[in-house]
Amino acid sequence: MALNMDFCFGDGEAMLVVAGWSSDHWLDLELYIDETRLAPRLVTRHARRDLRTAERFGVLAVFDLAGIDMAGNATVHVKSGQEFTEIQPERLVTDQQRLVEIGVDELFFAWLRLLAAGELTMPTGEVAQAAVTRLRFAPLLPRESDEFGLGVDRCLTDPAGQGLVSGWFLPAMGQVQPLTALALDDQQLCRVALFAGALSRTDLEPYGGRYLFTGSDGFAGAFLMPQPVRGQVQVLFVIPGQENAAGVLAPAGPRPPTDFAAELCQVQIDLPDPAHKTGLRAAMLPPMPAWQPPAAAAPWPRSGPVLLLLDHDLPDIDLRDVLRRTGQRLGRPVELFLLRDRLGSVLVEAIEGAARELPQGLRLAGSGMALDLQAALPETLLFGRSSTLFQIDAGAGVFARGTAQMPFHLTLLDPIGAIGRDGGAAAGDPAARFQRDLLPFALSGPTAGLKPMLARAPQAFLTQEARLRHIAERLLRADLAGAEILGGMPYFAGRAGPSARTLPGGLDLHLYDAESRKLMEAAA
Amino acid sequence: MSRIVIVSHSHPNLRYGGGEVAAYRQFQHLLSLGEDAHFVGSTIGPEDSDKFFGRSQQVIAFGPRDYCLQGRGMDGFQMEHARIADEDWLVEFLLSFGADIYHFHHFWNIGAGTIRRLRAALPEARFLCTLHEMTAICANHGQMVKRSGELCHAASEVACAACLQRPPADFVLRRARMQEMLGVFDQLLSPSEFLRDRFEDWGIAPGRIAVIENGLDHAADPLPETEDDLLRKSGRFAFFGQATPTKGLDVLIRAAALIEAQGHDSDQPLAIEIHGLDEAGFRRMWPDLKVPECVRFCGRYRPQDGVQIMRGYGWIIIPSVWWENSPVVIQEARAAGTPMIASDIGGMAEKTAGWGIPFRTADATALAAAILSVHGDAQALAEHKARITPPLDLAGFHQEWLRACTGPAKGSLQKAG
Repeated sequence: MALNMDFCFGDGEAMLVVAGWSSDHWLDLELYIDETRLAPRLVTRHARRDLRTAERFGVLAVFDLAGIDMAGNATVHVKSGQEFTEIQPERLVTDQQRLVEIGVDELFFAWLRLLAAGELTMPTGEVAQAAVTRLRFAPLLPRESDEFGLGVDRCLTDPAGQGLVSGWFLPAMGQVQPLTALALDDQQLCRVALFAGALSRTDLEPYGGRYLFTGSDGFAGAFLMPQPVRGQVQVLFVIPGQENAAGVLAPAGPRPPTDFAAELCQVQIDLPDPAHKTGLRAAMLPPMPAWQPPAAAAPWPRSGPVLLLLDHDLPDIDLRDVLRRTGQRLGRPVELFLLRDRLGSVLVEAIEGAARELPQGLRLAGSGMALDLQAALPETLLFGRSSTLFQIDAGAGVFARGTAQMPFHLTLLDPIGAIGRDGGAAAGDPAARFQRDLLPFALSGPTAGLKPMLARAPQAFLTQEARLRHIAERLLRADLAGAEILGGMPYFAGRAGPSARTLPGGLDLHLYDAESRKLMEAAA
Repeated sequence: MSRIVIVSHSHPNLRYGGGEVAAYRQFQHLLSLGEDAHFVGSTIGPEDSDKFFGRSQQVIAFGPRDYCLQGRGMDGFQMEHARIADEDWLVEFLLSFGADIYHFHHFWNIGAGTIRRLRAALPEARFLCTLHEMTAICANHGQMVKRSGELCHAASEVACAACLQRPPADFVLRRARMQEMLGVFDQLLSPSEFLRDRFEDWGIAPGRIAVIENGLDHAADPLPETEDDLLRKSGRFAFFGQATPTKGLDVLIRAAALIEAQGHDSDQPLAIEIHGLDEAGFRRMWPDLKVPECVRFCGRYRPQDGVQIMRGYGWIIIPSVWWENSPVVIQEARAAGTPMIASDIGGMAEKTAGWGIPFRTADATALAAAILSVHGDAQALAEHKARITPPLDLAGFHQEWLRACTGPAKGSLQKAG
């Protein structure tokens, strides 16, 4: 019997999906686009209870259109057996949403399985919204049944929309398909890159009597919500062999970025396969954004108050000395934004102490792990770590007053660059070393110019420094910042403050961000 | 008449350390000269303070010109007040004197920020600081002895980080803070050349530190001694000090045990007497060391009795295993006319040169040999006694101090420049 086609729609730019049912288990399907014939890349079958049978009459077929020239007036036919069905062009656009809204449960779930497996393009907009809405009312599975057991140890998100899951899955019978998953919030869906069977879980052996136990039944997965999160994030674990329910739904708990990173690092430690370690991290990162800083503005009058955006990486009490020295060098009123999520009494006392000794004025403008871009801020911004600002020369350009030809100024501590400048062999590429070696730096420039660039810098970075380093590198490569290379000797890095927190595995937040940057660049 | 404020990290009414004693003697001498002098000391920390102060009380007066601050306890690494309100109060208190001269003995409990702010507020005043040890250089109690016990010859960020298990950057900050604070003084004073040299090696510009010994008024010259007196005293040795590890009493006890073990054939019995602690105090510090029969513990003594007690001995032993600076024991021994056997480093080597017998520091065998080299030798004792010169008295100190007080104040120079 030929296919009874219910839906036919384009999926992304290079696929076409056909859904329906047929009692023929050996269905012969072809797609005709004008004179071009295509066999399906993938056909899945599922039961359709609306047909009053447990037979797998349901059909979901995927055709790969890559390389096919679909002109606007191309005719599309689906051939099943000897029958040709012409597809009206509007169906290609509207049928996906119709499937989500009125398709029978089993078909909707089959479509979700292909999404979770990465076989189809993740829907966005109204289709995604409709899918999320339908999932609210869809039948779900318990975490433990005669057919399978699922344990969720971690199901976490961070404010940047990154997600992490880990746990274990034990089916009662062998399954061809692995465990897959989707993440969703109130408006969007995304695929979870799930590494099933990637974690050793010998502790599950007592379950061996009920389920298939291998010893490596742990999974780890990661995702990135494509848009800012709206509402509660949940992860739908799509259970292989369970076609009559959407799957197991687990709420994702929000974590502060650093805590989330610590959890990720712990899972990475537990993953024996290096490819899984990298893949897990890469799956939650966007590609490095491609943008260019705007062309240089007019010469910049460096006067008036300075917003000191400070990563204080020295003992809290030393903040007083850093502020006093920096304030003396700037010789201008200082408004401090301290990159701390909370200010302890020692920091507060240190700021007050410094204020007593800076006649030009020192005021705490705010604190937090990132600058509040909506706040009213002084016209000039200076960023640096305390250890850098304290140890660089008093005459460094970031402290200078008077009109600057280039509005942005970058002071680098670059041992290789300094040796090269002093007659050594290779000066190399300072911009490359700047990122590769995480060279200490201070950056100053007009706040109004930096704000939009900060908004474009990757939010996946844990530290404000990584975003500003990203901006500084772009400025450097575009020759839009006055750069000076200092010898960097002697220089000792600070080891205190939130950015120095050691994550499982030994990375601090700066090194963690450096790894993120490499993965984002690789994905770009 | 100039108003002078002597500021000390402690108060000798509460503790009797060398620095605060020298500061207080200076204050008393200034009063005896009719100067408009004031003394500001401090309790060391909350434990001391609780005995004397109400919780909100900042200062008590021991006399019309003699004050004691409530020390809140100050982290010796940072040398800053933990609460800026305490610093505010202290700045206001010190400013209230409106003094022409502020002479600091040490800066612990006072704070680097207090000194900077006071200097900024009083550019015309004269600021002096006596360096009593190496706290500015060394965060290990200012002793320049590594935590391993090894003597430290120079501070550096990396070496200090290795010693004290802190990041090198912390020492960059500390050095900068200390040098900035010392930089605001018009004149730095050191009681020894050794200490001055250490500070100059560390970065204080040559010429900034004047060497003036602490003043010590002493009683009349020792009475003449007969040959029999000298012979009897040549077998009598003494230690004066406290049971702290760096004073090296354990080295002396080991040396005494070596002497007793090998036997000695002098007609003069050997006696080594320990002043400043009793045997129980010694055993608390060194429970495993056996005390030889020739050693006797004499317990504590009144500081003003020290010189007189020393006159009963042939030799005073100072076996400290840290550098020392200008120990009052050495001044007292000079006042008593009693020669010394001293560790061969730092202030001890400098201050006993010519009239003392040096031995290799921390080496009990060398100390035993030094003791035996003069034991029962009345002639050697007489020769060493003859080389002793009396210590600088307070009048002499004052004359040198007045010279240090001349010249325009650093603040006013900067203002003019």
